[in-house]
Amino acid sequence: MNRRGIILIGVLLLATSSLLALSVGTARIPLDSIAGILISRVPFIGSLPESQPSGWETIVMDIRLPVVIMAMLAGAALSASGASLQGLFKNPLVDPFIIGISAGGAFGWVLALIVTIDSTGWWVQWFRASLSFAGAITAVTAAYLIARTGSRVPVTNLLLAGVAISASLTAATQFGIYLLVEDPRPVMISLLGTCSNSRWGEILVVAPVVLISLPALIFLSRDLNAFSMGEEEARGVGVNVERSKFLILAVASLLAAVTVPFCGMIGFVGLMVPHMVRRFMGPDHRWLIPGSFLFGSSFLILCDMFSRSIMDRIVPLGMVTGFLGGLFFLYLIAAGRRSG
Amino acid sequence: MIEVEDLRCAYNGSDVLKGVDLEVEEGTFMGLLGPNGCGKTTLLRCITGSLRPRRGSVRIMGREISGWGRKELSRKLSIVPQDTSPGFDFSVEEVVAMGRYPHMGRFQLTDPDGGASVNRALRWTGLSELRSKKISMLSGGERQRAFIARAFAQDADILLMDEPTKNLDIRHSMDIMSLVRKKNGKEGLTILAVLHDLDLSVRFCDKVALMKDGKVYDIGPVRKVINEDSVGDVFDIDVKVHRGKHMHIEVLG
Ligand SMILES: Nc1ncnc2c1ncn2[C@@H]1O[C@H](COP(=O)(O)OP(=O)(O)O)[C@@H](O)[C@H]1O
Ligand SMILES: [Mg+2]
Repeated sequence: MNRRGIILIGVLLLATSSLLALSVGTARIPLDSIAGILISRVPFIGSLPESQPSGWETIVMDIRLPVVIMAMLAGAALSASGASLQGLFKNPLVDPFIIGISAGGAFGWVLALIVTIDSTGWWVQWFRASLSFAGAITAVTAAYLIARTGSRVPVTNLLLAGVAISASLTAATQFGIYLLVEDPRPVMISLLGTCSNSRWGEILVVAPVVLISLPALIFLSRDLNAFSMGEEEARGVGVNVERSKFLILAVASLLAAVTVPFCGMIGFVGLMVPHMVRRFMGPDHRWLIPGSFLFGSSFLILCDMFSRSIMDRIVPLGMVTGFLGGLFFLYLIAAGRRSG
Repeated sequence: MIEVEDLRCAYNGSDVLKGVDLEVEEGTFMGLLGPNGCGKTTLLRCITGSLRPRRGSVRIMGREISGWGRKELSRKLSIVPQDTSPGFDFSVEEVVAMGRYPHMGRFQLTDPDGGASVNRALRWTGLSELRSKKISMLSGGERQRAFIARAFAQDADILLMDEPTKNLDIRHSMDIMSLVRKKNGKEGLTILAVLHDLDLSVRFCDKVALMKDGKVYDIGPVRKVINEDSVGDVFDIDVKVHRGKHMHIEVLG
């Protein structure tokens, strides 16, 4: 199948999974009512069907839609972040969670949270997001510098440094919460990873970042292809290696970091999605990046729907992706062992 | 085309290149020979601008290396580094098409005019048939030809290669050497290649540079530079040089 066809399938999958996710929850709302409610919001043409329970519209528009959109944005962001980091380090085992970006983001976020715990105002969200980004980029830079030997950055070193930094930062984060936050439970839970508290205001922070990063990464995708051959090769075909590497790291960190304040630490999405997309669309980042955006968003919407429907209470999304990711990692190791 | 003067380069403190002088004229195929660790790769990396020398100068086509933009330079100078291993399984054609990147605008994602260059590079290297194969499915020789094709697709005037025949048997080494020799003969491509096989070097190169311990020991036409004394000195071995139709360097001990 050609790559355009796969993109088309991705679009259909995204539409279907969004509708499904809107219908699932404590109140089961039939798909035709959802379609009716959504269409009624389109200016000029829409009108609301009469015969449905009051409250459905509020549930769909004010509660579920922001959750679904947040899952979509976070899935896209984490997958594209993973795809670009994998290309940059020419290794399919890299993921924003593994190399410490998420832990750095969480650390920055908790720091901001402690400082602004009694503050209100529009700037609070942005301040927390900014500190989260600062934490993420600091963590990944630290991992990168620790891993570097001479002019090379061996990926095993990077993974080990990432794990070490993640572990210490996570401990520091938890210590901060434990010591300084009066009621640590909700903070802890939101760090476990969940989209289910998302509101429209938060989407206003995440959406612009994600929507600006997509074209940015697409224009960096040629460089990512070149990096997949090695740094020396990239330089040979005219890539400004240091600048490009910085830009890619910055955008990848930004994408992963912006999800942390609103969705917590959702692991392994950036590992699994690019891997699957690469299998169907090939390694060319000009397709892989948009493909990861698209399939990553459906993937996280479905995971979130699953996390809302397996029990009578919401299971944190991060646990669902963590569980799937663990299995997936095992599968990768087994597959790698088989192929030698 | 390439002029290197009093080049000194260090990794951590101590100099690896200790004052290298070297000139490669336009249209020359020059082999760079010397024992392991004498600084050949380091020299190439200074010429590509990926290492900054401590002292001395590198000029490409008369212009100081620092005066070239990265992209501008790669339209003139292509490289086939040592031990290329793609992180992902690109097809041959995708790899070769990367050679077109320096010719594309910053916001251009595809290169509508590049197809001809890619096809020509595939034909030169005999890979037209294999163009849609995955790199991992190729033999060692075919793989190396694919990386050379990528360099050819750059349509540059200079080609730098670091041990292009490493890990290849004699048949495939000959293929690679005659391939670049032909490109050099027909299109005047200037080539500087780090080589380890003395017999192949003397057979295919116009000139050689012998390196020892961070310096150029001797440089010039093959038959002038390669003799019992120079080879013996540089590699610290006893050799006998047979000068027939093809020169042969016999190692005595
Ligand atoms: N990245 C590096 N960091 C530190 N030392 C290096 C590095 N690369 C090469 N060297 C040292 O520089 C010397 C020359 O290396 P190199 O140019 O690779 O030699 P050659 O290619 O001739 O075998 C060797 O002694 C090597 O150990
Ligand atoms: Mg070398």
